[in-house]
Amino acid sequence: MCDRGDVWDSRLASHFGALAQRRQEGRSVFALEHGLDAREIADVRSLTVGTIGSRRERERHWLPLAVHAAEVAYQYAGDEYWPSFEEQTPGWGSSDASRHEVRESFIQFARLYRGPTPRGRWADWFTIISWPIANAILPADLQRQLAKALYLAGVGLASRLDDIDELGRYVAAASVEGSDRFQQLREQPRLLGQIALALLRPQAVGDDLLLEMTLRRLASDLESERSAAGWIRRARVAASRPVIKPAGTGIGKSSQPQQSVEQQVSDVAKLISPEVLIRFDPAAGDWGVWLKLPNLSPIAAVSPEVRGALLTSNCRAPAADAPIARGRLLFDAQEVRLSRWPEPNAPLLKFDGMAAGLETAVLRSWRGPSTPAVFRIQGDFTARRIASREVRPGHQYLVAYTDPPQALRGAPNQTKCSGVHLVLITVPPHLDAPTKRSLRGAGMLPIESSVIWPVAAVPSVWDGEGRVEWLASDTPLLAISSDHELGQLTVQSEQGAIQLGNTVAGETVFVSLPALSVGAHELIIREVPVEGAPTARTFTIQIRDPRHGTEVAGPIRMWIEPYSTDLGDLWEGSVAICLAGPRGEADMALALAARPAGDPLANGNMRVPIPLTPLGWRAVFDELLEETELASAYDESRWAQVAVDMGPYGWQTVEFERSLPPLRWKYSVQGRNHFLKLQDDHESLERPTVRYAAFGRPDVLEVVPADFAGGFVVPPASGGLYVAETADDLAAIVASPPDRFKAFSEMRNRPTLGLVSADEPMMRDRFFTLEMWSRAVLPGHLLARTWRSDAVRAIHDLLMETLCGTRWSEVERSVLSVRSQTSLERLRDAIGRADGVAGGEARRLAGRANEILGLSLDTRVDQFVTLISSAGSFAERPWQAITRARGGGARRWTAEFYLRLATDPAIAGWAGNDMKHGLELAGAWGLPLRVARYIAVAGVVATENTSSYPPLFDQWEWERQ
Amino acid sequence: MRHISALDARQVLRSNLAVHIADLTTADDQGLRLATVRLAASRLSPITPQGLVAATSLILRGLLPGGLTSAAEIDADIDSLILSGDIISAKGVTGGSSQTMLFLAPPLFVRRKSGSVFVMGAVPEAASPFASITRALGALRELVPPPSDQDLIDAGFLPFPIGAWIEAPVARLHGDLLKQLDDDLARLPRAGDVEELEIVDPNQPHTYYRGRWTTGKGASGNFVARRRRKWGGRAWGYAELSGGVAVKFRTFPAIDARFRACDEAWWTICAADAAAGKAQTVVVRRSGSLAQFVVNTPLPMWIERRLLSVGTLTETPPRGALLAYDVRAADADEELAFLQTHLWMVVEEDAAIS
Repeated sequence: MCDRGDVWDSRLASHFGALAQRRQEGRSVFALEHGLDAREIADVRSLTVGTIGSRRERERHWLPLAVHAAEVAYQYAGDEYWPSFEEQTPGWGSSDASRHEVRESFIQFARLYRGPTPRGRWADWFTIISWPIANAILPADLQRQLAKALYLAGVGLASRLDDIDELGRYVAAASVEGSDRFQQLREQPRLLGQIALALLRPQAVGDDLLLEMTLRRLASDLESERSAAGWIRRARVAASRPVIKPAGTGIGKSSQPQQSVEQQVSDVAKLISPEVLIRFDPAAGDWGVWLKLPNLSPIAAVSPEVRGALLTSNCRAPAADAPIARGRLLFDAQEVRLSRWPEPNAPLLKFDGMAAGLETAVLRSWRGPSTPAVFRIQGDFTARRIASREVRPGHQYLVAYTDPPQALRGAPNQTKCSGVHLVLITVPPHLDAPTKRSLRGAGMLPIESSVIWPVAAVPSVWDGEGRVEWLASDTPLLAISSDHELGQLTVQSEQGAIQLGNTVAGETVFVSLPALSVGAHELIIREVPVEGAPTARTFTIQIRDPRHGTEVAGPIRMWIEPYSTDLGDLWEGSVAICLAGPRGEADMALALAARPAGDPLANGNMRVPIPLTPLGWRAVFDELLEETELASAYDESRWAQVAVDMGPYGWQTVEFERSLPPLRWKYSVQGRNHFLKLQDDHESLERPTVRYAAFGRPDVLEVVPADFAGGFVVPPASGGLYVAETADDLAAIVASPPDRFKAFSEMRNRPTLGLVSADEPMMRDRFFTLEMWSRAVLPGHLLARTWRSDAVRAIHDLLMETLCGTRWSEVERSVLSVRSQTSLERLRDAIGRADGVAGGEARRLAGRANEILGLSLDTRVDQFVTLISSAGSFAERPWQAITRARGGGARRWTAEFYLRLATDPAIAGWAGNDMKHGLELAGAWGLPLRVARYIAVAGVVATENTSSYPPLFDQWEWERQ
Repeated sequence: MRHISALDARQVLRSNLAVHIADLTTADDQGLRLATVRLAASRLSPITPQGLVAATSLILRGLLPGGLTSAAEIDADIDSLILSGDIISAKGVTGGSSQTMLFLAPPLFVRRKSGSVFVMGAVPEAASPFASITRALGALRELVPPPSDQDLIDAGFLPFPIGAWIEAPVARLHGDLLKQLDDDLARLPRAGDVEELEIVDPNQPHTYYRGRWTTGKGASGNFVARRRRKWGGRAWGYAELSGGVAVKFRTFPAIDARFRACDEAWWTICAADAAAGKAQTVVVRRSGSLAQFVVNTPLPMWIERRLLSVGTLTETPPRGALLAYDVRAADADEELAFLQTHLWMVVEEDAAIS
């Protein structure tokens, strides 16, 4: 049709063709690398607009269409692509043009010019817009995220600039945060490395990585945002620093590509094992057993999949009752107190939800120490394990026995930790033969050989006897000294040996070690004393790369628990911001903005205590939400930043973004009108069905006939739950209650619920409605939280009443209202007086309520398994159905089902198709449910919370499915 | 692998420290010890003071003369690093109990009025980006020549306002300070055995600091004191003695927890001297653009930081003096007034030199 179009086709084809030829095989060419100035971009846009009306013309000029679509994508800030595209392509909406044509143009571009093919979860969800966005290289919101990732990667960048794959992997691993789309970029390390290198070394970049003109544009846009500009500058400084020393053959790096992920994880895990240590508690006057957990970032660095698995799995120590702050695991070491001695040779940790192969790889070497275990007391009231069990004259040790030898049974146990007898042993300054014999008899190996210690380089770990850890940047050096004369001293390593002649008593010998690669190394030290028998012993040296995470600078630690950067999770209260560090107070600021790092729509400030626990955070957040400015800005916000400032102790920030799944509700408030729009990016022809439940009648979802093309206004009186559903996706949102009330009493929601029969389909339907309420996205409106909470509690209470009976519910309500131990006794009586094994087990569990509440959720499930053994005799048919579906795991599944039924409003999603059988079982045999409810209620009586949701019960925060 | 001499081993120490801290080619033994404490703190924090003393002593064992690696010497280095802002001493939780922990400060810089820059804190396990231009002045690390603010920020150092760095307690009368401590001590129950106690003996010459510390044999009354801790280092405090036996001991800080225990001890010593009519003296020697302040008592960190913000520590104080500071002449009078109000010092102009 047009010469102008042909000219552009030809020019762009020639440009991209030449670029693809110049660029190394394996490196992508992006549609954004068109090399056009602003005037030319406008011309391509106008050409595209001009061809909208004709399918033939559109197909002919597919290349300008791809360039135009990539330009629109470059401005993309993670919100809505198509509205922007339609705005910048007038006539698109009214033409017969299809979105699929846009994808086709990029597929063609990928085929001809090696354009990128989007991959990963986000690309699977957004099957069309992922193409222009991948071709936009670094759209607006990703610029900031990449700048931060590069900054966090720090000086480790310098040694990786020669390998873009390795650089990409390293940058991906360095940043904990990032949206779903940044995660997609992480999953493509070569692409990430290509962009990262271009940004870090702009002066060294020809067109080989990115077209120079495009790179200048990216750099200029990056630098227009203050914090991103700072991060990039700091990353460039870090990348330009000289590499201190080659780190040797790094385990888990690309230099060993033949290794499986599991093998790499296993190798790295060996270097960073958790450590069981014993520490004196002056307040309690006894020794406590602790598990020091390592910083898991080296494991996360193996691959993005491993990082994801670590972030999403639930980490716990079977021997501890206290939870592990898993949000902190990836950047910091932490300690948990053990209430039980860890089972010898059993895994010290569990990662619930992690693929079995990966969990095995991590835990292969992380096992409980065998007993007797010998701990040497050091100068700071800490006792570290001596794996060799060697003890020296004049030192003090703690020796842990699961079954102490006869001679030590009467010795005082130094710890309250169960399952262990900890004996304090003071080794006399001179060892005679009987003493040596008795020490050996007690599981120790008395030695009088030379003392070896790390010298001249600060070790990051030293057990006091035979194991040391240094960084790869250290020059390691050992000192050896003997209190008696040696005729010969030999130190042997993998690389050779040195032999010394006569060494006088008290002389210090310094042994310089060669540059050691990252990993574990062993020395053998042989001594031939002038008098006495020769000895030989091993000394273990571990070398690891330095960790440069800038987020660990300063004494404050800030993390999200459990980890999520979804703004919705923050708002709803399903994640908490935690702080650790010196006791004190800090200034905390919460800012909401429409775009990442954009001008704040609202700010909230307050003083918070340090440490700040998840429970403490809830109180802080409730107070913050009282700032009505924040509540009213929330619906327009896509990004939030929480900053903590402790003056000279430093400051920390975390950022949240609103997650945008392909099927989602967009909610806005315009004046007194509430506007609700359904966005479906599945690109399928199926229209979602929409159902609605009012605040006043929350248990019934009714179908809403509506045209969703342009959204719709929610009538002011019709706040409530809206659920949109397609065959394989659904989205739920709570629309705000009315803004204005005629009387104060109207501000309270009093839901009216219909009767529910124990009929399984009806119960299942109500549990689905309950789950939708519990998981729905919340608006900013303050009352919406409260009214949603009322709805969840009302439906759950009704369902429990149906399953447990009216009398039970009456007693339960009375307990929750007076919260006394006497009332709790009445509830315990109401569990029932069933005889037999089940009755006895039920009473035993109820009697241990407080103890069970101290256990992790997973361990609580374990406690319930015995009770479930009787299920078959009470409800044969549903039990058989569960056994068929769950096989050997049926009892455990059922135990968890009962506990969740009592405490988790989102149980329907967890149980899936087996909800039906589970409900039938609970309907036929309510005893386990009453026991579970009793334990949950006992927790409320003990703690005095909770009237809001989430969680339904404190200490019962189940993983979401 | 090879056998090396102690001298070569010291060279390895020097080079390991140089990578992370600063060029230490010319550093003496004390300088090496201080740098080792700094590196150990950066790698092992948060850590208890006892743990840091033990770790440092281990690394230096056999490399430096034994007397230089005693717990007391390392403890004094830790105090210096708290003064310089590299280490933060605060209550933290470890082993289930709240106790004093040492934390590594985040990388910060302070720009003095003169434009010169010193840095504090670090990123753990990372090499100092300014190691080659770092000049150690005791525990202070000055960057020479001073980089621009932007270069410092790009290297990860955040600006720390000098006003915050030189924060001080509110000025008060010496009698009020002593009364507060006496009252505090009076409320305490009798202590158990307090072993290896030293007191600042008012009968000793107040111009010779080291000589003022005695065992307190036969002394009665309230005194600034220090006692040896079980696991090394010294605890500073205020003690009531009866016939030379300590019956009560109040560990410092008792008044202002922002500062070190030794700061409160030195502050109290000045108050007690002033109350006894023997106020400490600051001798001023003015010479051109500088004024030298010469003192015979250690200064709390909140005054030392002030002086360091407008001057430097004189490397070799005049004979017989404990410490001296070269202060810009333009700032001298303001600083002297501060010494008079906060430490009740008497200013003495040294006319012989001025």
